[in-house]
Amino acid sequence: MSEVALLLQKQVSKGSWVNDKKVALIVSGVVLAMMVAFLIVPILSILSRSFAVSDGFGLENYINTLGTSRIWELGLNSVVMASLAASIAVSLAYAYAYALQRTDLPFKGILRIVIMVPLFAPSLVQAQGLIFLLGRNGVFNRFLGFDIDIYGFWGVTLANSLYTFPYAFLILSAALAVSDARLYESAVVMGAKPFRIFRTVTLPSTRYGIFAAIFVAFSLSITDFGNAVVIGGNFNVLATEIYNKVIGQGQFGLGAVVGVMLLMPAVISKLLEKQISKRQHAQVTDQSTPLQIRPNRLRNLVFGSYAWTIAAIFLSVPLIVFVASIVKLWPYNMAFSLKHYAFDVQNGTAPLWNSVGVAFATAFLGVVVVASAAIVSAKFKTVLSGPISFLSILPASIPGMVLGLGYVLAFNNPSNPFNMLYGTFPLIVLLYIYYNHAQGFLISSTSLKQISSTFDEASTMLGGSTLRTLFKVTLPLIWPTLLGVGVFFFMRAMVSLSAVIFLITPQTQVAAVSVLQLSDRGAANQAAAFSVCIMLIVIAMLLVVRLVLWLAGAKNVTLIR
Amino acid sequence: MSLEVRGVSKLYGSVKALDNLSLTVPDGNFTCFLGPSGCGKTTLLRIIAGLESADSGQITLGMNDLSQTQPSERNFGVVFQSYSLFPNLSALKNVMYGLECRAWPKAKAKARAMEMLDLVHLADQADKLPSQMSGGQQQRVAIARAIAPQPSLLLLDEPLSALDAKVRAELRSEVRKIQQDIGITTIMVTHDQSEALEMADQIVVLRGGQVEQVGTARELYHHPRTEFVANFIGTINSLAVEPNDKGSLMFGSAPLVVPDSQGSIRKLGVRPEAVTISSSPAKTDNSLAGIAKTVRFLGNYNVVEVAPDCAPDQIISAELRGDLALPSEGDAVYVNFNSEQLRELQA
Ligand SMILES: Nc1ncnc2c1ncn2[C@@H]1O[C@H](COP(=O)(O)OP(=O)(O)O)[C@@H](O)[C@H]1O
Ligand SMILES: [Mg+2]
Repeated sequence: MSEVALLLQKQVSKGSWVNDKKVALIVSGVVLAMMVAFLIVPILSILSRSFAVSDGFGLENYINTLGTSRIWELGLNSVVMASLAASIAVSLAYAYAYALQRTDLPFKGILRIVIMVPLFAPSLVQAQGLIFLLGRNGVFNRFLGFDIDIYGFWGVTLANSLYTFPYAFLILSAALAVSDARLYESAVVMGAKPFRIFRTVTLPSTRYGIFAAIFVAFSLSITDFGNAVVIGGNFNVLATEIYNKVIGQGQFGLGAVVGVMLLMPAVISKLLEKQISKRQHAQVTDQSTPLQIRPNRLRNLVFGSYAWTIAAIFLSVPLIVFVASIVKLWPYNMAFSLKHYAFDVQNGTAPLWNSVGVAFATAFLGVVVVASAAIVSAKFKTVLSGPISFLSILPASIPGMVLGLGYVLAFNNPSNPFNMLYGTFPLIVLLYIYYNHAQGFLISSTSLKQISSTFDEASTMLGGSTLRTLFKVTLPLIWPTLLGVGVFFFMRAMVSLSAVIFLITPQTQVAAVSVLQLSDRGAANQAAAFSVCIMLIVIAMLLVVRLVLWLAGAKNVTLIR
Repeated sequence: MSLEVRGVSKLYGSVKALDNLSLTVPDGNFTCFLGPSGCGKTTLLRIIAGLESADSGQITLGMNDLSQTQPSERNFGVVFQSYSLFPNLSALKNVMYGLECRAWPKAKAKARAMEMLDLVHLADQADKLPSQMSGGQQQRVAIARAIAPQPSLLLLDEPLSALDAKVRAELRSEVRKIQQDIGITTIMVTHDQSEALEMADQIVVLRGGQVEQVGTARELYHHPRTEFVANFIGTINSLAVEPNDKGSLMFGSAPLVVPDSQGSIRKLGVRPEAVTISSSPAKTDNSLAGIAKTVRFLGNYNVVEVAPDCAPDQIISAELRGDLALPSEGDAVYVNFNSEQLRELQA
């Protein structure tokens, strides 16, 4: 017996051809090196470029940029617009999330999916839709006899409110989903009226969610580019300025300074976050009992009317864009026609297929990249795990536009070893991956942490190497989640505009940019058709993946984030 | 091959999980680590498995020092407390896992895995997923999976504690039988003394990260070294005694007849079933007058608790079997026991 065992033991030693520790270290090293090359270097490039002057380093760029009154005017425009858009989006989304989480309205599924639609299209679809509704030739002015001027401050603000609403909703909905019935019961027992309960129990327990939602909505609005271009008219913001100065006039120093300024909201929010989380103690413990929703007709009537009104507004935007795309010439000739889908101008449908290709590449590579980072930080215990976890979630606070500018500054530089990627699709793919790294990473590592470490240990004791455990046990268990992460990357790659706007060349057109250019040239109907195509592709992807997951019996995977 | 643990210590922060611990598990032996929760059983088992590293000390298997051997190369079988079957693999695939790691040819691996499943009476469940099996079945598969690659040592961490009582009793004898049939050196962790008594060749009682006593079930029961062991395995009356200047041992105000003792005894133990009760003094070495405080009927036996007059605060209980005349509460009685039933207990 013991001889057999000894023999087998030898066989095992020979069988494991790589040392586990070495594998862990090598994989961690690669993950970290990629992060340095495609995240740290671009950010540092912005910082260093903003301080670079003709003879070394100095504050000249800052002095020049901040010395003009125009930049202050634009900054004020941006801050006021983004604050208002974020306030509108967050307050409307809060009530909407409340309606879905704390009442027993029927058809919650429909209400939920309808307001997600803005996620399926580039941000500027909101501006497009608003123009078809409220613009000079919009439904209200032309057919209903109104006289509304939507171009400018209000148009941008409204478009960004619509655009950021679902992002705010997802955060607030998660915050409102957890609740402790005991708090509510004791409030009721003490005789508190509903509004008082809301103010003293509900609102404080969701404070952190509100803060996070405001930050996300503000940051998306202030760096959004498409809506400002399409519906801004003479109203200019920092995001458009940075684009004009960098692409139009090659003023990289100024671009870098504005880029650094756009990082400020993230820095401020990080500082505030500490304060807020200090005051927010654990609201829900393992003894919490979930809230039971009691029927209440008046409440349902109020929240029902509210929710369906919002849902109707959210449906009206893609719907009007769709209608505009299938009429001969909005608003003069409303006869049905598919001619705008011929895409016989510019590059034709090439940008669309480019985007689909880029989105697939982003999905596949993105899953590999974030899953490796998650595995390295959760399962491999190497000295690199700490820095990797930190860098993994760093992109959450970096606006896409800033990262995109960083990519231009970093990879346009001939001394960068990846300079050959400049002006190619692979660089766009990498930008999308690292721009969305934080969310993909958090989803993957949460799912990994739910897998008991006992499986790893059982596999190890049976003689399995780290890699075998990964491929035979871990990945088969989390593939539905990873598929969800892939869909998330696909969606973001199809619709992101601000992030890639600097990296686009005539050879590397993507769909979201085409929509922008078409509508900039006044081809509103074709732009609408392009947007519809993007939305349909994203929706088709969601449906296919949902079907795959359903067939595989994995029903609890969230696809829309 | 026998396993040797020498001077192993492990600190978690300021918690001494293991404190300079040494023990030997002979070849082919079934050893139980027994002790209350938190005494370091799991830590010791995990260090032997290599899943945790000791701060100091040495572990050898046969002639080999294990310190340089990766856990995946130790060729140990492990069964965990919680169900650790891979949820994405069928029972058969689970059992084949270790064989595939050892690059067994597919057909051979499958045959061996079926043989193992047969051994645990689950050959007909081979294609089921873990989620389709009961807790007991899952643990059987886990055992089959652990022994399939012919490990040199089998480690079980409370493998039965998550199962319900009936399944647990069934599996006890089954695990023991399998272990004896294949003659594998085995260590099982448990906090359940009856499990240890029933299954083990050798029991290692652990306390606070140290070995309290090692021995067979009988040795531990009949010759507990300390009050802790005596109370952990069964129950015992422990009598605080003090030598007086004349050289006799005083239990309260009465001298006790004890076997020839060496050194200073402070505590003596006597099992309740070694104590009898009578209404008049008996001819045993020790017969102490007292008052019956409680009389409890427990089905197949009765327990009588007596406060002896010589030391009224040190209750002595007697376990009485058979159809005996029982005293009533408050009766004056005698508690009787022979000196050879008395055990010297260390602190
Ligand atoms: N990973 C760990 N981190 C910190 N303390 C631990 C860890 N594992 C065990 N301990 C501590 O070590 C002691 C022994 O634990 P353990 O070996 O699990 O006990 P047992 O299995 O006998 O119940 C306990 O005090 C426990 O709290
Ligand atoms: Mg334990």
